[in-house]
Amino acid sequence: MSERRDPTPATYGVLAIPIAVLAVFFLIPFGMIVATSFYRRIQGGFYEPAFEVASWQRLLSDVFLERAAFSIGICLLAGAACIAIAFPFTYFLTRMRRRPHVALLILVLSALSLSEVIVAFTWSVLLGRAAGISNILVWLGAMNEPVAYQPSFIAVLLGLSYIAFPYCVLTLYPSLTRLDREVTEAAQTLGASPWRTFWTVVVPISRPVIMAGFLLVFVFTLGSYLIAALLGRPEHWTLSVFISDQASFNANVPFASAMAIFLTALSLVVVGVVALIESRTRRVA
Amino acid sequence: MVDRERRITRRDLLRRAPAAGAVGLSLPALLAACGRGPEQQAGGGASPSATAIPTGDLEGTSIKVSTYGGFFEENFAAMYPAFTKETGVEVESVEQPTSEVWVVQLKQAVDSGTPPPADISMLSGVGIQRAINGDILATYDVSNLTNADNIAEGYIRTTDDGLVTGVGNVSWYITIVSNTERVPESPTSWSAFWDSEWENELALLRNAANSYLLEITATLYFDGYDILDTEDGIVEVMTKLQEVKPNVKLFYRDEAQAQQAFNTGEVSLGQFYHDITTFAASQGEPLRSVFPDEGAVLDSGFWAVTRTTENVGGCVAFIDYFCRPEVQAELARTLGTTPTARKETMDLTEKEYEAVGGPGPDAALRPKYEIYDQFEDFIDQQWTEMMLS
Repeated sequence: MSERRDPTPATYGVLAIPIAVLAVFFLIPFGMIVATSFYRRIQGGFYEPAFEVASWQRLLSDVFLERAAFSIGICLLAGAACIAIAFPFTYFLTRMRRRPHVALLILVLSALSLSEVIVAFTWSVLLGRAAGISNILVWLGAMNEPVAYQPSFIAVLLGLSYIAFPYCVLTLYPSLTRLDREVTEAAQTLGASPWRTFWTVVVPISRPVIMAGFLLVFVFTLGSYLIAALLGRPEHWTLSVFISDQASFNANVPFASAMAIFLTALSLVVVGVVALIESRTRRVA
Repeated sequence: MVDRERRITRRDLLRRAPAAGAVGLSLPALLAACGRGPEQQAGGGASPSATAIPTGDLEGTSIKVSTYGGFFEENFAAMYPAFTKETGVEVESVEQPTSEVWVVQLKQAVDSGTPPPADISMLSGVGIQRAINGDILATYDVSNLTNADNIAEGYIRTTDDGLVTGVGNVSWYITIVSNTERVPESPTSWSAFWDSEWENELALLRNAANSYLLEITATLYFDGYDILDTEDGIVEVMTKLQEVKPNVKLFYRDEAQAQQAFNTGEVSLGQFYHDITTFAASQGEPLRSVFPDEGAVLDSGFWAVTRTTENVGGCVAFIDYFCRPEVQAELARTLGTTPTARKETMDLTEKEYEAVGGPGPDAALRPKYEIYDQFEDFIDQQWTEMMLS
C-alpha cells in the first residue's frame, strides 16, 4: 500500500492552474451574470448598470415558476430513462467479448460527435408524418395513414435522453468494467439466477455510480434548449428555451441572467437533495 | 473527535465529482446565452452628431456586409462584384441569423471595442429600432446618398435631427403559405387561422415582434390598430389570438425549420415569407403563397452602418449603390423581394412587379413598430402566457 505524503509546493503548483482557469473562466463570468441580473432593462433597447430587482420579480411570475418546475421534472425523467436503458446496456457491454464490446462502445461514443441541432432535426424528421417512422407502420399495414409523433412531450423526452445517453454510458462504464466477476459468480454459485444476480447484487453495489450518472444526465439536459424548442410545443419548452429567447431575441440580458442563475441554483438544490437521500439511505442500509 | 460519517473522503469526492462537474457542464451554454457582463454599457437614444464621411479614395478598401443567410445571402453576394468593379471597395459577405439576434452581437462588439462582425447589416424594422435605441449605428447626412431620391417615402430612417440611420433596401411580405399537396385550395383570409378545420396544422412565427399577429388580429377583429395603443387593448387582442392556439402545430423561430415543415407537409398552412416561398415553388417544392384579402404584412430590411466601422465612406458608397433603380430592379428579379425604389424609377413590367409585390404596399398591413418599443416586455410577458396557456 502506498503511503500518503504531504503535498509538496509542486503539487500546489499543479493545482493552481486548474483553479486559476476555474476562477477566470467560471467564477468571474458567473459573477458578471449575477451582477447583470440586477441591471436596468431598457425597453426597445438593451440594458444599463443599476441595481434593480425587476428581473427577479418577473421571474417569480407563475408562468416562469411553472416552467422551472416543468424543466426540473422532465430532466429528472430524462435522467431516470437514461439510467434505465444505459445501466443494463453498459453492464452487458462490459460482459461481452472484446471485439463486439469495442465496436458497440465506439458506436455509442460516435453519437457524441452529433451536434444538438442535427439530433433535434433528425428526430423531428423521424417522428414527423411526412417521412417518419409511422410511414413504415403504414407500409407494413399496421396503420392507415402516417401520423406525427412530434411536437410532443414524449418527443422532447426522447431527444433529451438521446443526447445524454452516451454521457450516461461513459459515467457507468469505468465502474462496471471493474466490477469483480467473482461477486456475481458467488451469487450464482449460491443459486441466484442471472436476473436475480443483476437485481440483488450488481445494482445495489453500483448505486453510487447510478446516482452520479442520473445526476449528470439531469444537469446536462437542463442546459439543453434546442431539443425542447424543436421537438416540443410551447408547453414542453424548458426554461432554457426562454433564457435563450430573452438573451438573443429580446436583448433582455438581465432577465435571461436571472433565469440562468435561478436554474443553476435549482439544479444544485436538486443535486444536493438527491445526494443527501442517497447518503442517508446508504447509512440505513 | 472527527465524525467519520461526515468527513468527505477522497473517494467520496471522486464519486461525487461527475455530478458536481455536470452542474458546471450546463453553465457554458447559459453563459453563452447571457453574453457579456458588468462593463457593458447601454445608451439610450441616437448619436447626436453625424459620423464624418471621409472623401478620400476608396480604392483598395474593404467592408463586411451582413444579410440573412442561405438563398438571401447567396443572391446578395452575387451582386457585390459589380459594386467592387465600379468603386474598388472589396465586399466580404457575412450571414446573420435574424436581425434581433444580430443586433445583440453588434452591440457587444461596439461596447467591447472589438471590430464589428459587420460594417453594414441588413436590419428589420424592429431590429433597426433596437439598434438606434442602443446607439450602435453610424449616422450621416442624406446628401451623401446621391441616389436617395429614388427611394420611396418612409424607407429612409433618420434621427430627430434628420441624420440617416438606415436606408430601406428590400421589403418582404409575410403571406398565407400552404403546401399544395395538403391544401387543394388556399384560404384567402387571415381568419382561416381561427378555423377549426386547421386544427394542429398551422405554422406561425414565434414572437410577437416578428409574426405581427397582433396587427393581423387587430385588423381582422378590432377594426384596425387603435386598440393596440393601450395595454388593456393589447390584452384584448391577445385573448382573441389565443383562440388560434389549438390550430398551431409549430411556433417557429428559424426560417429553416419552417421551410422544412412546409416543404414536407409536416404543416399544411401558416404564415411565411412570400419571397422564399416563390423561390422554393420555382424549384419544384409543393408550395404556394397567397396575399390575404386583408393585406399581407409588409416588413423591410434596412441597411445600417455599425458605429465603430473603420470605413464609413465605403459603407455609404455601398448603400448609395443599392439605391439605384437598376440594382433595385435586379434584386426584385433575382431575389423576389419587393423593391424600395419608387415603381416609376424602375424598368420592371407590371407582371414582374406584381409577382414580387402582389397588390402593392398600399394594400399591405404595416407593422406597428412603436408598440414593440413602448410595451416590449409587457407584450413579451403576455405573449409567453398566451403561448403556454
